[in-house]
Amino acid sequence: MILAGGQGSRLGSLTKAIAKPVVPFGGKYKIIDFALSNCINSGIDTVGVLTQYQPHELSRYIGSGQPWDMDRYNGGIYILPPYMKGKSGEWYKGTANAIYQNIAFVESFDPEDVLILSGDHIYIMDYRPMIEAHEAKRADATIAVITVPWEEASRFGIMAVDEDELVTSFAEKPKKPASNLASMGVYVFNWKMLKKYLILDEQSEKSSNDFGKNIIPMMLKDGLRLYAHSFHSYWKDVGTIESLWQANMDLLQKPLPLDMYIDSRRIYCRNPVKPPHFVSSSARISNCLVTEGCEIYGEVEKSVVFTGVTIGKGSRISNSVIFPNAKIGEGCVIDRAIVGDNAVIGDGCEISASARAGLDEAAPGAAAPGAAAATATAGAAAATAAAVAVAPAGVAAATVTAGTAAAAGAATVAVAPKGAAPAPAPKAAAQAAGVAAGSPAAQAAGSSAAGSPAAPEAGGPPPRLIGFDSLSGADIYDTTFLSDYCEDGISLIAPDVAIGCGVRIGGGCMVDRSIVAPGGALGAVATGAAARTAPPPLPPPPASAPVMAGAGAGAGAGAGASAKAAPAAGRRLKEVAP
Amino acid sequence: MKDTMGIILTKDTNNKLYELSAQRAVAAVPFGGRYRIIDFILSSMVNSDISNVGVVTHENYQSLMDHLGAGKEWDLDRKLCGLFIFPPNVRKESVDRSKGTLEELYNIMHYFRRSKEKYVVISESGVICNMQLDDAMEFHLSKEADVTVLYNAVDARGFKELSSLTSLSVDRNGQIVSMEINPRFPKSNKVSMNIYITKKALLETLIDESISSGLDEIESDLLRKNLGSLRIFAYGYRGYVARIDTVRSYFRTSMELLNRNVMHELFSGENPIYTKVKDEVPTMYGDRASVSNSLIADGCVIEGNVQNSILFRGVQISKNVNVANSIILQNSEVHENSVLENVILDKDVIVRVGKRLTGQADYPVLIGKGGVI
Repeated sequence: MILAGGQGSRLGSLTKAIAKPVVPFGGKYKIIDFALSNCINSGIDTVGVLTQYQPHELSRYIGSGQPWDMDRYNGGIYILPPYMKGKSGEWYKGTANAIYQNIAFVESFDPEDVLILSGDHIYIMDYRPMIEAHEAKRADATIAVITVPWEEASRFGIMAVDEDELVTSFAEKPKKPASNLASMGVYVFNWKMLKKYLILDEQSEKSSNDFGKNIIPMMLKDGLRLYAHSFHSYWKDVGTIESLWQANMDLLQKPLPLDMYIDSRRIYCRNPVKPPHFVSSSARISNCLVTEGCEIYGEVEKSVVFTGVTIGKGSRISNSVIFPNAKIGEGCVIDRAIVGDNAVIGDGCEISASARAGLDEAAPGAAAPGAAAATATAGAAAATAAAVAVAPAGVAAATVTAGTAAAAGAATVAVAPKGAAPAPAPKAAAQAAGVAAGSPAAQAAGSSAAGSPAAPEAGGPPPRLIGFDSLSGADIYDTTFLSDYCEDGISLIAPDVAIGCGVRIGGGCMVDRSIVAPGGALGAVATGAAARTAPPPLPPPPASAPVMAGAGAGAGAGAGASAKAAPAAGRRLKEVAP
Repeated sequence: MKDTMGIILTKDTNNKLYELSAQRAVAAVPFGGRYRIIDFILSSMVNSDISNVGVVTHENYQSLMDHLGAGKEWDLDRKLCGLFIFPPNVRKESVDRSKGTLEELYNIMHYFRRSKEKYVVISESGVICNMQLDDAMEFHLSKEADVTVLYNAVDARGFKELSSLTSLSVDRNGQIVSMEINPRFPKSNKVSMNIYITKKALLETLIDESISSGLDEIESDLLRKNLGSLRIFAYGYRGYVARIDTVRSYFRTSMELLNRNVMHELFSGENPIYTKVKDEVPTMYGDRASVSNSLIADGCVIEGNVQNSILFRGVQISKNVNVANSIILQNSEVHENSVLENVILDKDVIVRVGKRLTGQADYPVLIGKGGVI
């Protein structure tokens, strides 16, 4: 039974429309391919996949189970969503409840033991030795364990075992871990025993119906024979943007921590129908994984490039993960980023920590040339250059909220279109910010844009300008950069997002909306994608986002500073423009 | 094209692919990094909505059967229709394998009778193209033709490379007035693609008649004899076409895939070329890998230099290796310090440390399957 209903909310926009188990991984796979392939490679051909959150993509991906050799007459693969029973029905409340609701399904196969897996872990494991040990020891339950670094132990279910691997204590995410043996979320249960405890657990109203939190501790308390089974190879829970990025980078290490090249442990997946990848004479590729259907014209280093990706001439990609069918234009620089499926990045874009550093320097007054006048005039207000909102004709909905979690002050940038009356600019910024930010933040925006110089003096690092459309000047109209998911500097470009030419995005940003001028050019990669990715309506920012719209520029940034800085920014733009 | 069935003939007695076709039919010769030659015409049929395809095998068909399987990858694993593979000598009395194409078709008469489609597309298997057959069918119907022969225009180099061809002379209306088989000085640059469209009922009659009057081949016998009595038209296909029946044409056509336009036309997203899935891992580029102007399939491990080449699935290129203008088939390995230029390595070849293999663009060195050097 594979638990695949989780949202994986810490993966941000990657799991907005799909469940975590179908997030791409390792060049051509989805995360769930590892659990499914482990099953079939361990001779297990009857598998139930429990789905709940955004199941369409997952159901379609699994289909008949044929890619994993699981389209069988007897057994095979079963997708198990929550369902109506009698006159009522309910969602899966927890991992244990999901199995509880499918007791009848499991019973129909009359199994001796049941293997419970998580659909969102990356590891290659033969379950047979574990099941054999489970049977040999006549265990009631066997839990696969891995040794984790002590400092990380408090993130896992930690157990203590005796010399025979009999579990003596178990604690879910303990503050003071008694050992560093962590549960991998892989359990073998004696089915009769598990059924009994699932029913017991269901009767307890306080229970959160979770294996780690409830079932295992309850079994242990009742003196059941729980054994640990040590696993000594690579295992990773790719729950965050950082760990997803890191796990992909791990595939480039030598020796390989996760050896997918062994025939008997092959990872199966639903294969896209694509030709071999093409490497042009202008391309340079080193220390990369590249998949079929790609066309590489630029330089790629230490990156994992998924199926059907195009990387334009003169682009430099490093330390990045480029998801299927993303199109990257010419002359782009991308470092330490995850680029989502079908994202389109225009020519001359930069996504890297150095882009941010450069922008920070130029931040005071770093408005596009067309807007320089507007900011200079508005200079009387403290909310100068760092609070510049781009307001194209008719659309006053441009916000760029910025800053890492550390940089508490976010910057809202409003740039009036060329030729627009300069005076209303700050007001437009405030309104725009208000639309985006919703409640209290809107007031903050209003007050600070109205000229309160309090923000810089209130302490905290100065706000940062992190992106603008340098090619088309005032053409940004609908962008939000959220940084709270990516504290470690990994940028995330969400799936299906289109970014116009010459946009510069600092490290650690999450771009989840398209940055394209109406009818704006995407350069060499211009495809239908731009048309498809009509900007969705503005959602309220997450509570954790440091929305201080309209916060003032860095200390001392005034009208004069911004007027001076503007030409400098102009020069920079010229350098960037392809 | 819903009312059309497809027949793919894999007879290849005149081919000059030498070791490439020693253990496999030409239809099953690997091509383009991950495909086999038959994938192109078979996918073209499938992409034209033909869901009933018979593949007539001739000799050496084990590799072809293994490749096609139940037709799953071409979406031909169907309850109704789907893929039918006919081994040679399906009937007890037909034991003479030297018999012509018409005899092969005669042998599968039961399949024609059982199929419900009104039209048939018959194709030989050595053609590389990615075509929608709908336009040709429209042409066929608009001309009220009995048979339509597909052709493309071939240049002088093309004529030189082909080991056998049929050149078509066509009147202003598109009707074929004469057909020349392997002419020394061809009168026309229109060369048959060996793809024919006709009504199934007419085909059955023609095959019956032909067999009773001792005819062997479709073009040289059946069509030529009936030029006066049937409306036989020629449809010119303007897309990319290559024919593979010599080592030289195999090599040159493979290299043409590195041309962006050819690559995009053959492998465009909307009409993919389907092939058997291998579940290889993504290709791993080492720190010192240097690859340019090449097509690389999945599952390769590249540590050395590769230039103007095609690597099939699972190829290993070790450190300090230089591969240029070469085609390396599935699971072959080139060990350290070796140099390959204008070389074709068949499957499972091992080039050991420090070897040097050099061919010419016109005469590539060809190493047979499983060779160890």
